[in-house]
Amino acid sequence: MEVLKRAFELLSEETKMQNLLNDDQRAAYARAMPDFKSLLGLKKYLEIVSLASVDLNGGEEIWVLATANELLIVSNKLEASYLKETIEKLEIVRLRSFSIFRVTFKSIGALETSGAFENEQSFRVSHRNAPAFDDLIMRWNSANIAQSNESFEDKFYHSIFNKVLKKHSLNAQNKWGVVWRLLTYLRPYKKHCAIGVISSLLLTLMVLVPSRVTGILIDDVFKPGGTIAKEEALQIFYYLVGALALSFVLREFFAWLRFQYMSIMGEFVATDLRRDLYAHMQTLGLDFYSSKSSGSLVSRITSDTDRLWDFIAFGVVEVFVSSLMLLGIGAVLLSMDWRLGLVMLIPIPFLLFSIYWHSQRMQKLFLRIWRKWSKMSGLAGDSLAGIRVVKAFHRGSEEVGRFMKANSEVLKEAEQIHHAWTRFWPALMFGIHSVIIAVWWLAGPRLLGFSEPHLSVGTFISFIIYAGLFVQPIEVIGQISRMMNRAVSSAHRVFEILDMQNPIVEKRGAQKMSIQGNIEFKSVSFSYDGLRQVLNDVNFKIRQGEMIGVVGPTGSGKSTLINLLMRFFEVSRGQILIDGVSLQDLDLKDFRSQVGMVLQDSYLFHGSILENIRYGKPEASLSEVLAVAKAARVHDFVLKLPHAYDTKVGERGHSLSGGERQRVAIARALLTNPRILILDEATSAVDTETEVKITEALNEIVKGRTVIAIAHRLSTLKKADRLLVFKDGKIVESGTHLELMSKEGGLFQKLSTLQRPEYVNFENLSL
Amino acid sequence: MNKLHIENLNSLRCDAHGQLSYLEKNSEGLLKQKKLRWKSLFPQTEAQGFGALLNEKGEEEFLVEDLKTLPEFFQLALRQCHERSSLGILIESVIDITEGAEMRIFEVSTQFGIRKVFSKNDDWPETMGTSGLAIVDLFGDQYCIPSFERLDEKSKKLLLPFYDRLEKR
Repeated sequence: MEVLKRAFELLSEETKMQNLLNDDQRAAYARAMPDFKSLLGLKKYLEIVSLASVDLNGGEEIWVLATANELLIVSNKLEASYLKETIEKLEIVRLRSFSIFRVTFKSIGALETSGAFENEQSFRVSHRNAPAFDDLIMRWNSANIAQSNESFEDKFYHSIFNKVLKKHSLNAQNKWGVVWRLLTYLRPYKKHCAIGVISSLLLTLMVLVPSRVTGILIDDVFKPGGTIAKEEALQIFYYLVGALALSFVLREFFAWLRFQYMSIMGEFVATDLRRDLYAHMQTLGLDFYSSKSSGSLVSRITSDTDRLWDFIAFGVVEVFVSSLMLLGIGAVLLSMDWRLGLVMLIPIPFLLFSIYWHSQRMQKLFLRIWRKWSKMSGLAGDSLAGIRVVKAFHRGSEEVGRFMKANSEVLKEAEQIHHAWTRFWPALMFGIHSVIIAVWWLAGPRLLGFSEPHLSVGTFISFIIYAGLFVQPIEVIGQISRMMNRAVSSAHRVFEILDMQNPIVEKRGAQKMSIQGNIEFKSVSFSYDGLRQVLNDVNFKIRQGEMIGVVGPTGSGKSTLINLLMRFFEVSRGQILIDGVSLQDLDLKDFRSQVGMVLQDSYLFHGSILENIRYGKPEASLSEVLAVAKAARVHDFVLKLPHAYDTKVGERGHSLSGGERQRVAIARALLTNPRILILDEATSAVDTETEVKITEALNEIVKGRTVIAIAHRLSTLKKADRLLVFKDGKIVESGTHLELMSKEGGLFQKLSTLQRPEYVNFENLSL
Repeated sequence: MNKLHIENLNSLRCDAHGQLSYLEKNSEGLLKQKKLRWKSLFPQTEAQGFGALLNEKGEEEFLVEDLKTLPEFFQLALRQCHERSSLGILIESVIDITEGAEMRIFEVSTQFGIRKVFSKNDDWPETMGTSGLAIVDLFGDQYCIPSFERLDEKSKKLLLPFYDRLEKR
C-alpha cells in the first residue's frame, strides 16, 4: 500500500486538498489494488512505467502494467506477461458507451494463411479510466520510455490520479471550513464588528423592554384596588411611559448603529473578495482560462460575491441578532415565570427542526425548477442569439410555441413549490399558536387563583407579547441551512479560483534587457495535457530582423509555438533562448512589452479606438497614436467615423468590420515598437480586398523587426525569409519559399499546388 | 459511393465488445483481418438504422440507410454490435445524491459495484426511452436506469428532481 500512500502524499503536496480525489476510485484502488512489489518482485516493480485498471470487467479488477519491454496483466495474481516483441500494437478505442483497450499480437504465418482472425485480447474500460490507458500506450510507444527518470510513485500519480484531478473541481465537503474562511474576511473590520455586536446586544435589550414595562404598568399602576395612592400611581405612570419612549428612541438608535456598522460589512467583504479575485485571475496562466468559460468567471466576480454580501449583511447579521433575541426572550420569560417559560421554550427546537426539514424537502423542488428554468432560459438565449436565422426561416411562431411550453413547465414547478410552501407555513404557525394556547390554558387558572403559584395579569400580558416576538427569529434561524448552502456554494466557487496557482513562476532577480530579436528553440517539447506531445523536440534559430513563415495543418503545433514563445505556457523539455538568454531568466513583463501580437480574431475592448490603440502603452502621445494609425491604415476609415478616434467600438468592436478591427489591432501592436512581432494568421479571416489593406499595413510594421508569421496565404509566405513546415509537432521542412517549392516530392511543394492557388492547403494532410 | 461492397463483407462478425471485423485478401492473397466500427448517424432519433461502417482511420467504408434491405448475416452482425456496444453502466439503485458547488455526485450501485458518478450541475440527467434515465459523467461514461418505475422507493425519491414522469401530488 506504500504506492497508494505515496500518491496521496504527492497529492497533498501538490494540491493541499485530499478531498479532490475521487473517493470512489480511492476506495476501489485500496480495495482491489494488488501489492505489486510482492507479486512481481522488487526489480520488476521498479521497472513499471505506467499502469491502468480495467474497471468494466464484471468480476475482479484487472490491472495492466507496462515496463520498457513487457506488458503485464495482473489481478490478485500475475495473469499474463507479454514481451514487447510479440505485441503488434496497443490501442484504446472509444466507443459510445465505453472504451476498449486492445492488445493485438503479431501474427504468426500460419494464422494468416488459415484465414483466422488475428490474435488479440480486449478489455472493456470506462471512459473515466481510458486516459490512464492513453498514458500507458504513449509511454509504451515512446522511444525514450526507458530513460524516464520519474519515480514509480510519480508515474502512478501521473498516470492515474492526475487525470482524475484535472476533471474534478472542488467539492465543498467541508462547509464549515469554507464559512470560517469567509468570515476571516471580517478581520480588517474588527471595529465595525465590535460596534455592530454591541449595538445588536443593546438593540435586543431595548426590544425586550416595552413588554416588561407594560407588565409593570398593569400590575403596579393600573391594578384596581392597588396599594399605591392615585397621585403616586400617576407619577410612576409618567416615568414608565417616559422610559418606554426612551427605549423606543434608543432602540431605533441602536438599530441605526447596527445597520451603519454591521450591514455595511457585507459590502466591504464583497468588495475585498472581488478585488482579490480579479487581481488573482490576472496572474493565472492561459491554461486556466481555457478550462473555464468567461461567463463562469464573470459570474464569480459579480453574482457569487453579491450572494456573499447578502449572506454576511443579512444572513450572518440577522441570524446573530435573531439568536440574541431568542436567548434574551428565553432568559426574560424564565426569570418572570419559569413554568410558563419552559412551556414556551421547550417546543422551540422542534419548531426549528421542522423548518430545517421543510427546507430540505423544498431543496428537491428548487432543483426541479432550476432544471426547467435552465432549459427555458437556454431556449430564449439560443433563439434570440440566432434571431436572423429564425426570421430567415420564418419560424417565429414555432419558437414562441417552444418557449411557451418551457415557460409553462416552469410555472408547473413553481406551483408545486407554492403548494408545498403554503401548506407548511400555516402548519408551522398553528404549531406556534398551539404553544400560545397552551400558555393561556395553564395561565388561566393561576390568574383566577384556582392554582398556585398566582400569576399576575401584567406578567401574563408580558408573556403574550413576548410570544409574538418569537416568530421572526425562529423563521430566520430556520432558514440558516438554506442560506448556508447558497453561500457555501458561492464561497467555494470564489475560493477555488483564489487557491489556483500560476504554473509560470518568475524567478527572483529575473533579467530585464533590451531585446535584439534573436530567437532559438533548443530541443523544445511540450504537451498541454501531459499526454499528447504537441511539440516534439523542435529546434530552430531565427536571426534578428528575419521574417519566418510557419505553416502546417491544424494541430501541428503552430499556435503552441507562439504560446511558448510568449511564455503563456512552460516548455515540458528544452529551452527557448532570446538573444542567448533563457526565456525563463527574463523578466516577463519587460519581455512581453517588447513583443507585439496580431491574432486572427483580434479582440477590441469596450472603449474608444484611441483607448484600444493605446492599450499596451497608455502614456503614448496623440502624435504617436496618429503615426501608428497611419502606418496600420487605420486613419483612413477613422476619418469617416462620427467621433473619429473617440468613437466607441463596443464589447467586441461590433461597430467595426473585421478588417477594420484587425487594423486597429495592428496599430495597437505597433505602438509599443516591438522587437519581435507575431502574426497569427492575421489576414485569414478577411476578404481579399481587405487583405490588401492589411498587408500594406503589415509591410510597414515588419521592417526591422523579427517576425514570426503563421499563415496559409501564399502572399505572406512568399515575403518570408524562411519557412518552417510543421507536421505532428515537428519541423519536417525548412527553407525559403523557392527552395521548398523546388524540393522534389517535398511536402510543401505537394500541397501548395492543391485547390485554391492563393492558399497553401494543409487541410487534407495525411502523409 | 461505398468503398466496400456487400460481397466483401460476407465474413462480417461481431466480437463480445461490439467490435466488427471482416477478412480481406491482401495483395499476396493472404487473408487479413480488418476492423470496422459502427457509427450510428442518429443515435437518439433512430439508433437502429442509418449508420456508417468506419475503418480504423475513421473513414466511411459503407453507408447503411435501411438495414432491412441488407442480407441476414449483415443484420445479425449489426444487431449484435448495437446490443453489445451500446450498453452503458447500469444503475441498480441510487444510494445518495450530493450537490457540490459545481458538481453533482450520484452514489450508485451498478453491476460493477458501487460507484460515484460526477457530473456538472448543469448537465442534467436525460430521459431515456419511455421511462428510463441516463446520467453522463464528466468523462463521458453513460450510467443508465432502464426503467425508473422499477427502482426501489428510496432511489425514486432521490431521483425525483430529475425525472418528469413521476408527478407528485
